[in-house]
Amino acid sequence: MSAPLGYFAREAAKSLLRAGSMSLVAISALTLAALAAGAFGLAWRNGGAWNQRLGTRLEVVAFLKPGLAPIAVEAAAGALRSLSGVASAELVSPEQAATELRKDEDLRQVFDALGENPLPHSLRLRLKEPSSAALSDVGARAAKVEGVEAVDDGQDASKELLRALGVARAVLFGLGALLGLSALLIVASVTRLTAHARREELQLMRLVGASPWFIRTPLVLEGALQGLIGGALAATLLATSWGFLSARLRHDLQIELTAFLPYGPGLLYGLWLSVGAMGLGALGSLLAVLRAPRPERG
Amino acid sequence: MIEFDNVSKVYEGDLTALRDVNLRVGRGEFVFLSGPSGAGKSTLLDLLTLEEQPSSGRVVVDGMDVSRLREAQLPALRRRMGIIFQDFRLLWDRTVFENVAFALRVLDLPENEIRRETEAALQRCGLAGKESMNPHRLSGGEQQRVAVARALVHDPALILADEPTGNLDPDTSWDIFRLLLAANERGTTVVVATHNQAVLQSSNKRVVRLRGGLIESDALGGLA
Repeated sequence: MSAPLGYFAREAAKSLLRAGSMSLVAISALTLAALAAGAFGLAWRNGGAWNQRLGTRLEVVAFLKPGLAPIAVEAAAGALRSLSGVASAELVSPEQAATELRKDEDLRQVFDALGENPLPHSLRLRLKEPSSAALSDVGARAAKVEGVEAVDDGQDASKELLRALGVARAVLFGLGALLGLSALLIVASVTRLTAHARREELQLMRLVGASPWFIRTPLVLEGALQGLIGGALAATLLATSWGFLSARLRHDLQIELTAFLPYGPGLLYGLWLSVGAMGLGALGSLLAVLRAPRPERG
Repeated sequence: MIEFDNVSKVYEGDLTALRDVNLRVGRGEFVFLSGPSGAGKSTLLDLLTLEEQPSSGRVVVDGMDVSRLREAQLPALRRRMGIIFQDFRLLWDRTVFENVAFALRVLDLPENEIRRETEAALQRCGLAGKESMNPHRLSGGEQQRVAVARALVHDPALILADEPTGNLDPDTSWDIFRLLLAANERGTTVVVATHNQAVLQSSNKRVVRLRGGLIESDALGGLA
């Protein structure tokens, strides 16, 4: 099939040029979808980085019952360490906790007034995959461990922020999927219009004995080519916008964009975006040619 | 080469195009299909090009019962045919060469073979030197010769032509028929639907005359 492959590629490129405005519509739709997907991907990755960054600061603290014997403390610590989803557990003695708290002037005065250390042993549990739900889940299971009196699962602003991040990522995902689907439908419609405009040629191909795939392949390749162009345009636009924003922030506010958004649209990212858009274009065309009715009789 | 056994074709709306037609065309024969408009000539050709299926009866082309063929088997049978239309059906945005080479592309032949065969077909049809021209720049007769070259280029076993001279003047029509006769002399079976009385009267070829979907007569030209 080496000769037809070259022929298919040439036919797809020629057809792309011949289709003119219809090709432009498809490429624009794919560019927009790839742009949205690219922005979504960056938001997703940077959201993940924020999630991770926040997560490393989030912990579930399990306070053990006061006056537990050392052997009971060890047993409770062992049980907490072995909870699923727990990455590490740091045992904090009452003395260590008091030392940390006494760093705060007000609390130091409280400790001085009390005269003795009222703090129990506690364990700081770090999670493998920190999320709002995981914090609550590990917190609930830690509360049931023998020897645990109370649990603080981080019901604070950080946890709310984590939840908000999760919602934002879900919304972004939904938007990205919606845009992708829209692009797919537009490409499928454009391919069907192209096939309709070329129905005489396609019928002629059938009459000279072309197999269905011989007829369909150039159309699918044309969709892939539209996707590749759209993806490359979107990657270029993203990289240019990112570079511009980065330069403005550095110049006007002396802020490095990568300090709070570590992932930018690099070359590899652009390549993936182009390949993804190419796949989307090919898929749209494939759907169109598979669903297209047989050409009319001559 | 071709067998029609009690073939009828009824289109939607009870429009009967062929009624109980029996016909045999041997390998290497040249047959004209004649008759007034609506007689069933095009339907008969549509059954041969596999564009239509018979409503009843059996159509056999080159040993294959077409009603038993699966969709995937149609391309292989069509590659053994060359089809010529009254309206030429050329690809107007391609060169003369590409229009003719088009029929060879589907055969997955190497590029050098496509070039050689296409140039030979263009030569046979008197189109040498016009390879790179756009069909728009050719006369009607030349455009139909491009269509004939496209039908001949892959050396088919069967040529089907539907009113190939319907849009051409008498002299040009004879040019086209001479090309078809030459292909027939090389062993290709040729079936031509035509209204061209001058050709039918002077030809010594078999003429099958249709009327109202029935075969009215089947005799040698000039006698039918």
